[in-house]
Amino acid sequence: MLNRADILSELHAISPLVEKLPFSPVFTVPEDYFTHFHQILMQRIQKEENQDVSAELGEISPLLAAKLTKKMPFSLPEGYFSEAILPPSTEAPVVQMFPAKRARVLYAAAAVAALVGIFSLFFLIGNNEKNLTPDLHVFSELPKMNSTELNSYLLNSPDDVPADPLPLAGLDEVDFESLINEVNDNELSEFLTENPSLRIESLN
Amino acid sequence: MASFPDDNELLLLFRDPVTKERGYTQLVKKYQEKIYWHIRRLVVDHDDANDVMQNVFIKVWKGLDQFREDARFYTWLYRIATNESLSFLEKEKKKASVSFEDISLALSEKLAADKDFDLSKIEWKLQVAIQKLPEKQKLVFSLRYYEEMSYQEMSKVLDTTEGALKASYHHAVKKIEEFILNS
Repeated sequence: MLNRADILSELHAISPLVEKLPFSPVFTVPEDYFTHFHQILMQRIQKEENQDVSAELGEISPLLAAKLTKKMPFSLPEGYFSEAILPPSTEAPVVQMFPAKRARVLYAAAAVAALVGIFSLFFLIGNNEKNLTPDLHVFSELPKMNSTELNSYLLNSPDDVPADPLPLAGLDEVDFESLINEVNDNELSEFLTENPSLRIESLN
Repeated sequence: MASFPDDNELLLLFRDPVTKERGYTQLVKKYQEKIYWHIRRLVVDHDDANDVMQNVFIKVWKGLDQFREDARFYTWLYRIATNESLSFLEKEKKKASVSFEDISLALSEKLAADKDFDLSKIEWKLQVAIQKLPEKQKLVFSLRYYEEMSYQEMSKVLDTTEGALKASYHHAVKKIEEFILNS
């Protein structure tokens, strides 16, 4: 807290006119106001702290305070408060990792993925079979052809038949001769018996 | 003027349930006049000042248990009084749906309604000039000129920097000077 001289000194620097204004109170206060203020205040505090609900209502509305009752007009099922209360379950609660709706979506996605996989597998196998079929057909059909038909085919389609088929098989004439020599007559006879169409008539 | 014990002594009395009421009454008696005049200068009317002052000291009764020792009781009390006065004026503004300029005019009218009001007297001119100040400048001028409060204490009461308070006080004095010269 400063003293009056400090305030006036500062005021003099800002405005000598305001510094010279009379410092006298203009407002008046009711007589003995400050003498009794603390008593009025304590009465209010005690009243607020010890406020009785009925007395408060009586002050606001004596009519309501006289007529009103705390009795509730609502009814309860018989024995509502006296019925034994079941103890809470001790089992740990089951927590779902995925909610039902999300699980359904996941199952559907898995089923679609499985179907796509199965169809892809069939598609690949089918393609492989198609690729193998022409060769298989040639070999199965060959025995059914007689030498006349075969000669006719070779004469009419000279471009399809290699002039010398041995190099295609990775063999040369020496290899071929040695391989032929390794086959005994019995095996050769057995082979020709099993594949009569390959028998060359002239050899008979 | 009656002499009162130190604030810390009174706070100790207040914290003891046996002497609580005695300590509180002593605190009220010690500060009631200063707080009343601070409030009265802001709200003008005695009845309004009385209502605000009662609210202030009830807040002190309820909040003194939580009062921290690191703050001064005196600045804490002025802070409550200032806030209560401003809240009261804010309610008045809302009630009448008026702006600050209008509430300033309303306060000047209340001033003029005082049975002792005499604008030929320089002290009444000063009161009218104070009521025409913006809220913050009015507070700063009142705390400095009448309460002789240091800027350091005032900064705790009003939550404003000392520099800003000095500037506000300077502007307030200049406006009052201008009003008196022109009226």
